[in-house]
Amino acid sequence: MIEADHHGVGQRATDTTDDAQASQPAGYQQDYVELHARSAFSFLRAGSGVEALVARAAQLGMSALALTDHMTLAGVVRFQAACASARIRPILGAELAVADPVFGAGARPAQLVVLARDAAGYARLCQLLSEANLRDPAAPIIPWAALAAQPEGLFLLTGGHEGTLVRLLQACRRQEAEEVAQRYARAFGTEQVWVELQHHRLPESTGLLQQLVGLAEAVGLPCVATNGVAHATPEDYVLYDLLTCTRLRQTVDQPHRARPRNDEAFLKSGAEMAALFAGLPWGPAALAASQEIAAQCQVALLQGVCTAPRVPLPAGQTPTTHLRRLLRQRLGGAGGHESAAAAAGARAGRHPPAGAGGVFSLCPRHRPAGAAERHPRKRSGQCRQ
Amino acid sequence: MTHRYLQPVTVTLTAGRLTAFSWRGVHYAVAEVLASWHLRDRWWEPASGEGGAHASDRQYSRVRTADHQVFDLYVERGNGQWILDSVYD
Repeated sequence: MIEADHHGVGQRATDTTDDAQASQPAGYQQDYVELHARSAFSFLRAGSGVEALVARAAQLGMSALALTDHMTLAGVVRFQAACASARIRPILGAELAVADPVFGAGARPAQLVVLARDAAGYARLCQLLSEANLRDPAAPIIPWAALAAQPEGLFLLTGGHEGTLVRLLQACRRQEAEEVAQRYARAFGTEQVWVELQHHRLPESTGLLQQLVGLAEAVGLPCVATNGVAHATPEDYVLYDLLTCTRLRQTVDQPHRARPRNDEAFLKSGAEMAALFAGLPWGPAALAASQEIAAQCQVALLQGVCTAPRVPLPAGQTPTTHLRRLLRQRLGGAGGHESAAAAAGARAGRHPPAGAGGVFSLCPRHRPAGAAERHPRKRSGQCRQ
Repeated sequence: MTHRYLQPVTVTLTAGRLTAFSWRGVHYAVAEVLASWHLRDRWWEPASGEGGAHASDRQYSRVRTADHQVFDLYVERGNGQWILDSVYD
């Protein structure tokens, strides 16, 4: 089936694979859950906000969706609120920058995905991220030993193109990749680790997937398909690429290995994922595994009550008195000026509610414009400490 | 060895699959699609133009023909043109 090209050069095909795929209804196959998705909270590493991702997932008929922002959980409250509105089950996790000893000291960190299976896992993830950000706020990294020390309540996915396994396989270091996978299995248990398979339709994708599956079989780990989502729709690719260039501090004319080579990292339906993995014998199992993992992740933060983080207090101090003391020290010198402290306190959010000074002192100044209207806990929840 | 041609070809698709193409007056039956990939680049440039760089959004197919030759072809999403990119000896 062919027809003449309008430009008189070459031929225009009337029926392409993409056209055939596009004719399938959205949500045609629903036994797929996206477990690796970054939002705009992954600063300069994604092209869509959490609400756009959730709206797209709802459009596709997904029953659940994971938010795995890069080294942060900052988006989880808005994500959970959006999921509640869309009747989608939220799965919480993060894409971690991990210093893996296989690459040696000073090497760029590898990216692993960790999903919170339960409240204990979520708490552990919070702790890991907090410690990393306190150590180096500019470039937080989690040592592998720290991640492996307390794996309870966490699922580990081996990451996409920046994951340790893919980087080793692409460097023809297959034996080391196998040893790393075995290390993951020893630390987390074979029931908690999945070798992540991403198919971004790049020249190397199929060969790489075959290597990953062979590796998984060799060490006895299951595989799971994800799309390593960086934007909600193909149209958002342009913004994603532009933001990537901004992060890399370069112009769009300059090439870089970290830039996306196509627009395939969008949130895909089960049918679109099935088409990608069609013909690969392990494809259906890898797609089905996404739903099995999703079913085991049960963390709900928005229960009508928000528990503020506990801040260690000096003996005899309440949160409010401690906050005032800190303001005097930082803004008014050792002796402090009550007026400066009071003015700072006023700028920082007036007088904090009793018992919650440590939290409310800073939040208002850093909240994005309009966040109060969107933030469900400001409408219906109450805070306690 | 790879030879690049970047010349337009006439293709036959059956149920969305590339099954044959014609190039320089010769008909080639596709025995197997070995790989396919998608590359998009230079979205900030015009979609087409006389010479120079321009935006591209290409679906590539690497095929083995019935006479055991291997070709890379691509279709440009914007205008649907099929181009023979490379031939492998």
